[in-house]
Amino acid sequence: MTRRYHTKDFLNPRLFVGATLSTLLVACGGGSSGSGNDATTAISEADNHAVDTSRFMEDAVVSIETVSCTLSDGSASSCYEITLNGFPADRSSLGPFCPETTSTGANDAGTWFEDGVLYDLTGAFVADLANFYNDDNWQLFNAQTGDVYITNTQAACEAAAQPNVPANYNNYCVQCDISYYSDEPLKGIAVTYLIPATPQPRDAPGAIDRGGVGAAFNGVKLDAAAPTDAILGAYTIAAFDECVGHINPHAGYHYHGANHGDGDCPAIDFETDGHGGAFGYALDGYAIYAMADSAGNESTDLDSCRGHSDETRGYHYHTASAGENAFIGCFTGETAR
Amino acid sequence: MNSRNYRKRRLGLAATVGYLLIVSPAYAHENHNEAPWAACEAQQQNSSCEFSDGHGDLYRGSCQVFSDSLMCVRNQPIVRADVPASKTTKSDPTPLAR
Repeated sequence: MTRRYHTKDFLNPRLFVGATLSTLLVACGGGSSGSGNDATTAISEADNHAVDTSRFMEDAVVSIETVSCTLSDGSASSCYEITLNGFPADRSSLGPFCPETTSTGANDAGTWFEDGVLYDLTGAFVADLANFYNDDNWQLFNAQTGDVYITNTQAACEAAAQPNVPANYNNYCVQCDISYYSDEPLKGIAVTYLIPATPQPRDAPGAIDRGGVGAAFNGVKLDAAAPTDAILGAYTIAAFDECVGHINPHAGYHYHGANHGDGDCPAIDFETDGHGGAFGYALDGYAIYAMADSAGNESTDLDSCRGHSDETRGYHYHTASAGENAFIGCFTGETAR
Repeated sequence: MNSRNYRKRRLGLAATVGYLLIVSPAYAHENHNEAPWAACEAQQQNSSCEFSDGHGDLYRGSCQVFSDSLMCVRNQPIVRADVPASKTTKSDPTPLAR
């Protein structure tokens, strides 16, 4: 199954409504790029490095072609049309997501984020949600048995994985299984990305829309911020696994945060100079690197998109932390239409 | 439409309105707008913003657009709190946090 997103999809009212309704485990779908009003880092030609498609893991790639494309400023350009498997090529399984009971420990449960912090979604955390959110309407578990209410079927996951959650799915821990959408092991929902072969800096930052942020080298979509207000407003938790990814019917398995080297999440090697390693490309063609260097320090000169330049890597982004519901803040370069 | 059907439809409508008035408020939720989104309420794109997490750590950045909503995206290193969490709405998240 291959899904490809273009801005024009969201000009089609039926597709737009469908996509809007499908925004839960989410922020997934459509095109990208609006205009900001803030100057980003001035990028010299030397700092504008071409996309290197060999960085994508071999098992992650379905196909890569060079095609003509039109960028968000209307200019003609050359892009890579990259179709990725959608299943992380550096892992053999996904999850766990929701804890089965209020006794479930961190090893058998996923994660959830709040206000910048990534929490273990243990049974104890679920049992404490009313207190955590200071709202007595939270009751995500059976008080008699301790069983957590989980969307354990495809119908249940799809009913709960959208903004207008039916009342009977309020107070559910939402999880979907990749087997609903892929018959083959280690396959996800393939997604095609159109990325400028050489980034083209834009005059003002571009907004991140439903097209998402970019693609990880392991074949997984880097999605836009999850709409946590809609999720929490329905008293649901759209559980992530340890790697801050979860599954929905539209994007398959996708990330809402970067968590490398923690638990079973594969680490990214630091570069030889101690700089954090790259793990993906943004849709504007600039690479996204780990948040911190080998000493644990963050850059202090990031622009509003979370990018900056250095002599070795040219202009590039640094991801936010795993709990911040974001990788980067905006696009410094033009994206493909 | 005969009067019986009319009465039925009115009863149905009344039941629906009653349901919405009585049941919905139970789920007319508290404000679940998390701190990164709340920090950019009434702000403009690229306005400076900041928020704190459950540990009191400070996140400073600017308001950026995600699917038509503004969220505070940090672009400065996290300012770690010297003291444990002070946020009373979150019940001592420290043992559960990564």
